Amino acid sequence: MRGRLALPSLVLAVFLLAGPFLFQARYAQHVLILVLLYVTLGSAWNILGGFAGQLSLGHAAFFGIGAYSAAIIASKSAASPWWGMVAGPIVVLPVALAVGWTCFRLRGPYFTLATIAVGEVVRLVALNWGSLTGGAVGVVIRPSIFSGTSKVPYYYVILVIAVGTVALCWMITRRKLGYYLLAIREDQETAESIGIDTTRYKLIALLISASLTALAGAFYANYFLFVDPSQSATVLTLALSVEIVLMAIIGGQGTVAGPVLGAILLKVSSEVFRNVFKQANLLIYGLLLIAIILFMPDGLMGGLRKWMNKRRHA
Amino acid sequence: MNSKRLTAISTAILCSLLLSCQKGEEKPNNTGPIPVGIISSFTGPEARFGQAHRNGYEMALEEINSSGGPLGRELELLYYDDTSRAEVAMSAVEELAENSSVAAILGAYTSSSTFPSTAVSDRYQIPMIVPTAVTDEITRQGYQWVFRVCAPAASYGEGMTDFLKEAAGATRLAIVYENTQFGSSVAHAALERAPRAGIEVVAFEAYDAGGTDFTPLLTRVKSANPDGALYISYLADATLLMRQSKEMDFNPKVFTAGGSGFSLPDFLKGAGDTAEYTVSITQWTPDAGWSGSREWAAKFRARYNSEPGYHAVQAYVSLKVLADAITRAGTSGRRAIRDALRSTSMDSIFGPISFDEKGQNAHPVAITQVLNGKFVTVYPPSVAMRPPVIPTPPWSARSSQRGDTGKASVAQVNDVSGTQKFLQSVASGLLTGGIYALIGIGLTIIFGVMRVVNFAHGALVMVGMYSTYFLFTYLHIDPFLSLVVVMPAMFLVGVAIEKLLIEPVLKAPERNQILLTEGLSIVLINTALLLFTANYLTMTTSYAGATARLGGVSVSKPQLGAFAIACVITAALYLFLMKTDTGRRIRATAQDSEAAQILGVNIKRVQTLTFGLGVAAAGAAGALLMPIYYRVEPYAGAPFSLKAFIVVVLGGMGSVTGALVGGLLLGVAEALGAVYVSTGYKDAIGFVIFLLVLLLKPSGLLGKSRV
Repeated sequence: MRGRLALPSLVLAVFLLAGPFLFQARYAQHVLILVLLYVTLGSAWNILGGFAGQLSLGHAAFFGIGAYSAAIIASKSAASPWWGMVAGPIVVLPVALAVGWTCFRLRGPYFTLATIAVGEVVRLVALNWGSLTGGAVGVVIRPSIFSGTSKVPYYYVILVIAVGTVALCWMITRRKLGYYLLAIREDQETAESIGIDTTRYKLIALLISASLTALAGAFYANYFLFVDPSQSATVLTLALSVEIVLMAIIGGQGTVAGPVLGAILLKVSSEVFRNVFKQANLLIYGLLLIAIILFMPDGLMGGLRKWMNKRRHA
Repeated sequence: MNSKRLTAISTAILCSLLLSCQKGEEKPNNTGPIPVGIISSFTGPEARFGQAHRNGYEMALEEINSSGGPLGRELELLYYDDTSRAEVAMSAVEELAENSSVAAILGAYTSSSTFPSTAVSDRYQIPMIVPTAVTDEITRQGYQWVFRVCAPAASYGEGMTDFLKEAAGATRLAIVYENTQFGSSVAHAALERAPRAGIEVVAFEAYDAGGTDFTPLLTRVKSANPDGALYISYLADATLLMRQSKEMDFNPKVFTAGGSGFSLPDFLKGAGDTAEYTVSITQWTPDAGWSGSREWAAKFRARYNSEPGYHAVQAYVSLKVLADAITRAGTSGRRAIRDALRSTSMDSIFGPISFDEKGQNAHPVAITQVLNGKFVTVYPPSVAMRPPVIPTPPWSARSSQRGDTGKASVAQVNDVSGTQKFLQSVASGLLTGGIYALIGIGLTIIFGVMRVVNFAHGALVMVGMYSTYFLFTYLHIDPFLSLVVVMPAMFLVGVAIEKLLIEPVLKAPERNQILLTEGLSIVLINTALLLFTANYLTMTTSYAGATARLGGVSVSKPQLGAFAIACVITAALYLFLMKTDTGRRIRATAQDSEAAQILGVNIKRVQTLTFGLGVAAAGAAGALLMPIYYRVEPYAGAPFSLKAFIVVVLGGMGSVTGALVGGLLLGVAEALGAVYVSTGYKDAIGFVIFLLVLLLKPSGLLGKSRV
């Protein structure tokens, strides 16, 4: 196993490290950065949504808190907005705890709907608490540390975050926490009956997931240099929460590689669709989603596995 | 699969990517057309304004190119649609900046899209001309590459308060603004300026843009007893604000507005006779007195068969300014163009144009009033065609036809007692709640029987709205009557969706069902977008704005009618479920589908039937919304999806009576919250109640009663 994967892994590693030099057009680099951002978001969501089976549609709130941490640090003090990458993941913890305390008592669709409500409340607070967040105007951030227009440094920052997140996911699946979460996903009552403190482990999954999402949010603020709470923005919107979930599930939730594949497929195809189909791009995107759900109910990873099995037996 | 093959494949992919993507940096050409980036909102809620921009750009382009173009090279416009989203606009600037042959960028439309975009253009050092966005922030950043042709928000505040003081004699002002960058910058400019004009701001209310019901907001504003109102909104909200001001019998001395939505010809169409007498800031009128503006307006009318608004002129002039700068720069290089822009000094149909050190063009604003269904310049006196009609006659004194502009009666006093205010809030809450209930009922029966949370429910409401719009506009079928057609049609749509899409995933995990219905929602909304564009379609019934008054409480008659019909449909559905055999089968399936199956119930049929019924209810709600909200666009259903979730959880998932109670409760809670707490947090109140109920009684207020 180890030997068989060594060479491809090496190729992948070289590919990732050389990314910005292979793709020198800034637009291509931008798409790479977005893909890595969504790999991070999908994988972080997957810890709670995929491993523990808790379908959250409120992750945009965690992302937004991370992004606003960076923005507020930059607008209220002279400090670099990069400190948001430290502050965001910490500030998000009490919020995540409150979400967990409220929502984990709920099961299935009730949990999902409650997370939507939490997400919307956070957005409305950001919109109306003008003295802190700048309200509807949002915050324009001045770039710090990387002052030029090169995207290369941003690429490496998000690469480290994305690889770290995926590695963490992989570690979780190999450890007690991963098995406990799996047990909770498959059958919460049974998990409880064999002595797993389900609330505690769900909460741990939530805290890790929320912190990583906030970290990605703080990166986003530094990269995009603008944060605002409008419904047509990215930060804090239900549309972002849905997109994160789509990436993870289309790829194959509960697997480490699933969200990675999902993020690559959806982000790249949405950029391609935008350029090729113009106005019809979202329509094609929606049709693609429906097709995947209907024909690959276990996502790309599920489909891939099925295909490999067939080949093996053929 | 062996490792060699994998490596070979990865290497092949890598190489092909390398070949396809590694394009060298393009050098600026010195011959051939000069590309210019244009960013505006061609789709999305603000698409009407994008179209106005495009008309203006096209006219300028034709003129410029027909005379050979600057430096003897034609201009070539590269249009980018920001879909009314800031991020898309920012990416567009980046993409354009990266293409080194692009000389400059013009755009975007909204302040929200433009403000962050100017930061990008400044960073990438590409000249950007801002035709329309007014937020003061743009010229406060010290950008070196950004030039604004239009007057900023501060001028709006100044112009409007001067007008209110000098021409209208108002002393107590209510400011109502949409909580976006545009709305809040203009509102704050007016708020800061008002005291200097001796005007007290008695109400300062933000609302979430794309509002569906302003009656609670107007109740709050009316009870502050202002004698002047200032509304700052884009098109859709502008229309609804005026119509509901009439329904609420809100009678300040004068209705004023901060341009934008109130200054488009579409506003006159959408708001109908309620647009009459409204006063608005404008950046340009054909009779503003600048040379050539009248001739230009005539040319525009001949070409597009519509009245030119100031947005089209701003776009036209911006491109002219750029062409002038390129000519003077003598090259299409960015820095040279930037330097030439700095020394711009030209006369235009938009007045003289030159930029100060912040990149701002000093441009005066004027004020128009809608008189006899036309925008007439009434202020400042130097350019006014006639003095404004002030005070505005109260709604009750207006004849049904437009036109009696000469006579003006004294404005009614908006005195509201505490009890009246409370009753008014409850009444508007109940009426809105009836519609919420009907939407919730469709969602709840689908959940009860199939355990599927239908995320496409709001989109289906939108489909019902479009159906009603077309039946009314082309076949002249009354919206209330159209239910007879819309409900069966939507039932069939529901059956088809269930058979094709839902049935295959009924056994799949819940997450797949959610994603499938979300995918369906995306498909429905974007199909509507392709078919009907993002433009608002508005319709006016003969009874639009009709109001009933019960003991000082104003109630819109169409809203009352919609409420009554929603109740009838709910009652009919309830009786159907309780009293008929089919209804019993549905309830049995909801309670225990396996047991029902054993007892001989054809579950698949019940599920199809239920989904059809749920969709028919959503369609009915859409039909009932049309005579109240007057308008439809592809995203019109979106807010109702979230409302329906709240309603259904409040009442208990799967309970029809629960959905009714939940709907009414949500309506009243939102109205009371908006009137007594804060209009900005109106939507948050619903969510907070929702979370509380989930926590304290997850089975809903009405407990376990299922369908």
